[in-house]
Amino acid sequence: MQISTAIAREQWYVAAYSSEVGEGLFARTVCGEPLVLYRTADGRAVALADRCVHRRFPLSQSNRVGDDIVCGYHGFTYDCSGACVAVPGQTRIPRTARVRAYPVVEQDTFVWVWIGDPERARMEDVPRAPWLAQDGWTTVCGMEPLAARHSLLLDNLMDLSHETYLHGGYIGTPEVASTPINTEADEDAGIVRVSRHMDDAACPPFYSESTGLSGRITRWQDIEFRPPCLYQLHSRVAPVGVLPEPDGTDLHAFHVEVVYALTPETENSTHDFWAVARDFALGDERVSSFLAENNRTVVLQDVACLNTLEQILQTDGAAYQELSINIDTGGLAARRMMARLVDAPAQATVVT
Amino acid sequence: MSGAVYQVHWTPGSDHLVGVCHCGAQHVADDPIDVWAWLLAHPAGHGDAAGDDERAPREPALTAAG
Repeated sequence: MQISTAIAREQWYVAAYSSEVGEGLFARTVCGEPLVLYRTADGRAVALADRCVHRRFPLSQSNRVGDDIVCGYHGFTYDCSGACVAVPGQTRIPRTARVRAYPVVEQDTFVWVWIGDPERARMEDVPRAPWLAQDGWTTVCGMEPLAARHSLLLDNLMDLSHETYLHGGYIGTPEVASTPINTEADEDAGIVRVSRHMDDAACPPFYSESTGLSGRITRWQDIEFRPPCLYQLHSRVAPVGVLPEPDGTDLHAFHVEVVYALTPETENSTHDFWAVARDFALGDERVSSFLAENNRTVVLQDVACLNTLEQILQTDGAAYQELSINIDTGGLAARRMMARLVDAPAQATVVT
Repeated sequence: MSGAVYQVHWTPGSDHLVGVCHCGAQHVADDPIDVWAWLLAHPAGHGDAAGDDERAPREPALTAAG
């Protein structure tokens, strides 16, 4: 199976953080489709095609009048459903004067858009990341542009053994790469899970500085990837030997939910949304600043690595072979689910 | 097929991967290409009970990519 550039359509993707969408006209390309996003007077997020039907001028570089957008070139005016409601110099509005409106769901601090036939969009299919906007959690987040294909970022996130080598001194310790993983492909739910439970591991600065733990730790990494966009790492750290209670309560551990949204910008570039939610040091600005700065540094280490790989893939073309070993078991499962979405859009539950 | 969950366990202290099919059959492999190929081939090569088809370990597989 290859490091594909194919984009799965008929899917929900994160287009923006809710905080990015406001009164202004905000441009972002998702899956090769230029969008303009804004918020109506009643607070609803809207996503329209960012091209006037007349001469393709970007609506994001145009003017907003009430909830309408007036094209900055010749004044074609669109309402928030994408319908053209006025054209210059004449009363007849051409029947085809409409820009595409994208189904939108705003949830868990994300603005999700449906890339595909709007008739096939099911709001209830948008996956959840509730920690990002939930009492009892404090979240830091960001987004880094990645000049590399979606599949390279996915490969990176599904195999965390790279933390030992690429992120040493931040989140990597020797135990990450040396601990075996368990992998599960849940075909009906459309989820790939990868678990790595380290019983006795060094505590990397990311966790020692934020939690105050100073000795060896029990460190669990439980990944859930919901193709094509949402990746969640359920991270649990605690002093060595401290485990959840039999009833499932886990008051003596620190929990961090690391959430990524992997949204293709084009076939060869990706929006790398990242968020870190924690259930400790709530509201502590020092801890928030530390985690935000450190996680961004880690993400930028990945970005530099993957940008390099993208260039190499484009230069080398198909004339190479890759080698997969045990650490790649989850990445290969994720690739397979992605390939199935590309081949059979919106049928994530079909099993071969 | 409904309820299909495939699992792959990396046996601690070894290089072995144990694939567990939704039908209960198991297969030991030494690389993930092999174990996924076996799992997804269900029911081919799965026999009628767990623990069948245990093959000799191989070198990691080279796969074409592009």
